[in-house]
Amino acid sequence: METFFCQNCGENPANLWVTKIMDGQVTKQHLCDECFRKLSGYSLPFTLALPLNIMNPLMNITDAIQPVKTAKFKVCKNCCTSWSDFLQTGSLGCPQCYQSFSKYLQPIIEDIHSSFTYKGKVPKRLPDGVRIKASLKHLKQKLFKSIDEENYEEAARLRDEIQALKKQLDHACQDAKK
Amino acid sequence: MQKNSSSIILTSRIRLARNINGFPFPEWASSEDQTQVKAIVKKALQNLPSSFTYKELARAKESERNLLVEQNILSGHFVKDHLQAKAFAYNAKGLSIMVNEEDHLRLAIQQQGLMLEETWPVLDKLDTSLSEKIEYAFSQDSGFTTACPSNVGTGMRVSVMIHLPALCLEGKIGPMITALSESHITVRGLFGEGSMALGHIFQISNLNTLGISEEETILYLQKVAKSLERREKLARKNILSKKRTNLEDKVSRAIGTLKFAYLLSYEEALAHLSIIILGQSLGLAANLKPLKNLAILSTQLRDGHLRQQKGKRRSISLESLRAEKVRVIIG
Repeated sequence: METFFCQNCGENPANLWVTKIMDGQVTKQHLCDECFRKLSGYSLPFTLALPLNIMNPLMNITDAIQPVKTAKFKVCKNCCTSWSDFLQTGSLGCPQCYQSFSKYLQPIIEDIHSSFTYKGKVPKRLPDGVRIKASLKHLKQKLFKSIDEENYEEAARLRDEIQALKKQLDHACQDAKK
Repeated sequence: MQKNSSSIILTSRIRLARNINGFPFPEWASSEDQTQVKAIVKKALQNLPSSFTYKELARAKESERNLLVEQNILSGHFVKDHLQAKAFAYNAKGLSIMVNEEDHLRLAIQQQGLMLEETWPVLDKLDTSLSEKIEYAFSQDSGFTTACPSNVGTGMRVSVMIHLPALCLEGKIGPMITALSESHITVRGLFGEGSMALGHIFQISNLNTLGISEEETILYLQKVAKSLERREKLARKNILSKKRTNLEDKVSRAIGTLKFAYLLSYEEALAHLSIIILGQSLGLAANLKPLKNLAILSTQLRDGHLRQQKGKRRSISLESLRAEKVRVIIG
């Protein structure tokens, strides 16, 4: 298997692909943990937990790290986990952390997945409004796909299903208001 | 369940990461939270169409835990510490569940051969049944929320274990790995991140869990695995036609070592078995009995499995036992 060596010390195997953006100038380097710490002044134990295997298309570390100075003491109100807790362990504290740290998580998520759009299944048990909205989104994606594939019979069936769900959503919203 | 089994594509595995709404992720959960999560999962597993063996991790003996890790039912990380906080379940259909690993639930299914399209409905059904009883942490925008942002979305990791000795011998594996990385595929050696590809066995898996549906992920991995299988077959034919003597030499040396060695490390055994299996797929080493799927051999020869077979011969070393076992395997 191909091994990249650190472009700073040239001795240790590199396990980080670091992109620096300074004054509009973009530089990219393969670095080992030790040199990354020396050069950036940040400790990065969370690299152990995130998929930063050198074979992966790697995340842009500086994008994730740049906001750290200001975010260091940012805490999720729901679970009290801080952003620096996440950086140390690689684990967020609770599902609400995604909202609490959305500004800092966005570049990480974009680098890993190259997308923000969820296209998967919807679990059965959810609060009514969330379930219906998620199902609507899922069905609309399927509708566009079936139109692309010129499967109009399926598209008509999906359209009817979407209309029925929209009615359910209206009822759920009215019930919530009451 | 073996219709697609080939000597090149060894195993297929799909796992889903799920969390329960209202609880902190396992890394930050109190022991009370962890106990509650285990109780919720245990209750949800009752009255499912397929029955599961549920066990507290702390109640499993070390030897059992090691065997389950070697069979890929539990992860090495899962059995490392905090045993009291964790539990697991599995059934005869190849389904397994880890409770309080990195996420509250890690549901998985594993089968030999390229079996993604066949096994996905089975795992999907289990996940859907559980989602009727458990309120998963889910948002319409980002999907299933997970402890690590690398899994958020579908929470799905599809992995195929694949045996690529000819591509390795031809020196084509490096550029191929680079190309796959650019196509959002992670490539690892047999034992996960950072390890060498023991026995020329690689694991390919999807990187993205957002922007791609479960079905699309499965079709994509299937396509990539089949394409690698075609390339490996071509490389094998090429070696046979252009470097036959070299290959015969390698195969014979591998047979010689395995037949006459008294001590074998796992790495050495796997490296030679890999070459013999390559030779047998091209009609060489016909005087040996056909070897089993390398995935089975690579599990049977691991330390935990060998330790189970020591029986009364407590003083025998694992290297010595492995050499004995290999001699029986190759006949």
